[in-house]
Parts: sequence; C-alpha cells; structure tokens
Amino acid sequence: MDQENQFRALLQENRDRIYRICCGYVRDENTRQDVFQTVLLHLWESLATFRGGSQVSTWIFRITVNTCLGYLRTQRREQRMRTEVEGQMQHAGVPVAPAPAETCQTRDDIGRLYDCIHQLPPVDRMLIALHLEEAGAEEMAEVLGITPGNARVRLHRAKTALLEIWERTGDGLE
Amino acid sequence: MDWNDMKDELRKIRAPREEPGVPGPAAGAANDLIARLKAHEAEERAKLKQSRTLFLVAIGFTSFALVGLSLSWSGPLPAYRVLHQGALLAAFVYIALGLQKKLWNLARVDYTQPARSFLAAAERRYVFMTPRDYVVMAVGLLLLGVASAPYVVGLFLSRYVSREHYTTVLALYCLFYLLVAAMGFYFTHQNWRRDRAPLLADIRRLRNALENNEDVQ
Repeated sequence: MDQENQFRALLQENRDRIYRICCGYVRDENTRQDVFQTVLLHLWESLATFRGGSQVSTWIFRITVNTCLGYLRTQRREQRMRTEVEGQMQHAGVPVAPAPAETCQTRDDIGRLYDCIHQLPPVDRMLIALHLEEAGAEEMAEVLGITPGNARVRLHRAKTALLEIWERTGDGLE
Repeated sequence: MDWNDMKDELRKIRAPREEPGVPGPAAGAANDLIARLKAHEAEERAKLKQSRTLFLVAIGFTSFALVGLSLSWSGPLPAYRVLHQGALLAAFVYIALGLQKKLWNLARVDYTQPARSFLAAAERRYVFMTPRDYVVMAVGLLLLGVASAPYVVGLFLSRYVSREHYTTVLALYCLFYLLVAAMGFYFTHQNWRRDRAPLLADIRRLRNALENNEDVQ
C-alpha cells in the first residue's frame, strides 16, 4: 500500500479518536480543529518512518499527545502576549474587548466531562484522555515513557481527582 | 453515569469532516487534505532550500573574491590577505553549516517518541545555549575576528596610525570586537528570556511532573 492509501486507511479508522483526545486538551472549537489538523499533518510526516515497532494506536496516541503538549506551550505564550498587549492598551486608555469565551460545543454530560478534564493538570489529562480511548496501562506507559506500574498509579490518582471535580459540579461518576 | 456509559457517550463525538454533511471520511475530503499536507511539506522544503542557497551564494562569492584577488595581485599574495580571505570563507562555511544543522533539527521534531523523550528533546531545543553552542560560538567569533582584522590593519592602521601605535590600536580593536560580541550576546539572551525562557520553564515543569510524580497546573 502506498503512503496515500495507508494514510487514508489510518484516517478512516482513527480520525474520531484523535479528535476526542484533542477535545481533552483544547476547549475552543476553532483552535481544536487547528490542533486536530496539526496532528494529521504530523501523522502524515511521520508515516514514512513508521516501521511498526509499536502498535499503530500507540504511535497515533504519541503523536496526538505530543502535538497537544506543543499546543499547551503556544497557548501559554499567547496568553502572556495577550495580557501584555491588553496591559499596554489599558495603559494607553484604549478600551479592551473581553476575550472570546472558550466553548466546548458538545452535549450535556460529555461537555461537562471535558470541562472537568480541563481542570486537571496536563499529565492527568493525558492519562484520562488515553483511558477514555481504552488504552491499557502498558500502552499509556509506552506513550508517556513511564513504567506500566507508574501509569496505573497515576491513572488511579487522575481518576480520583476527576471524580472529585465531577462531584463538585453535580452527580458522581462510578 | 459511570465510566463505561461515559465512554459510550464519547464514541458519539465525531471529528469534523472536510465537507459538512458528508457522513464518514469522504474521498474528496481526504484527497483535499493530502493535497494540503503535500503543499505544506513542499513549503517547508522550499524554506530550507532558500536558507541554504543564501549561504551557498555567500560562500561562492567569498571563494570567487579569493581567486580573483590572487589572480589580480601582482606577485605573490601577502600572507595577511590569504589569512583574511581564508578566514572569511571558513567563517561563512562554518556559519552556513551551523545554521543548516539548526534548521534541519527544527524541521525534524520527532512527534512519534514517548512524551517524556519528546519533552526532553523540546527542552534541548529551548535551552539558551548548550556547552557545545558556546564552543561553536567561540570558534565562529574567532574566525570572524581574524577575517575582519586585516581590514583594520590594511585599511585603517597603515593609513592613519604610525607604526609605534599599532599594538595599542590592535588591542583597542580586539576590545571593541569583544564589546560588540558581548552586546550581541546580551541582546540575544534578552530575546531568549522574553520569548523562550517561559516556555522552557513550562516544559521543565511538565517533564518534572512526568518524571517525579508531581502534579502541575
């Protein structure tokens, strides 16, 4: 199979799960689509060098998680720049429009789940996002570069933290 | 609601299709995406080629000047001229190779490695200067210093300064050169502090969180 067909097949099978992981990192719909497109770009670029050393799903998870981590960095830079510019504008007496509200255009419980996930630290977000995509401890460990035991312990802690946030905002997850 | 219900609900979330209203990844949409991916790749390659061309032109020009100078000079070329042109050529080649390597590394961010290694690699890219960078910078500055010294000797010293003051003026030149280099270093560091240091701090916090079981917000 040539690269284009391989990519098409990959896209067909994994498009939605990649998008769902992006949902765990990015709240704003437009930005999420940008990050999603960037993940696809990295998949395309890395496809030629994929030798099957790991499972396809692990390879995809790695690229998605790393791209989302990259997004978190640029997001912080943008926030800093926005604060600086707004400070300068206020200093100059220019009225500052409020930043557009971040939206998670998903339905009820799912929207609420993502709101809760977004309150978790980045590493916990990774673990929960992978857990929701049915990744086991071994796979999580391969994606993050930690031991499976550590992945299990961390996932347990992340789930506990998520449950606490969920309970604070309504009924509990079991 | 429990985890399994939640997972089932999540399955209903679908990635946006390139063409609204088309169920499943339409062939047209995939083709469009692939075309855009290819265009992006071509753009990246073109950028790398442009920067390489710029330095190849500079190297070619310096080599041509060296050959032209040795052909047009009556008699054997003075040693300081050969040293100057040679050092200039070496400096250009050296800087071109260094920049090429940097661009190459930037273009080859490996997103397929585990997050921990990915963050370690990002940390190496964002750090101000590694010990190796200091060595590279020192060699580059030395080559440029040697390359520009003959101008001071040939164009300035021999015309305006008497022979007994050569040492003083050369010392002043060295001091001035070091001052310019120090200023360049200072402003580069300030830029790095403003743009990249906060990102490096974020990368380190994340990396620590992964490696030491600490949580970060």
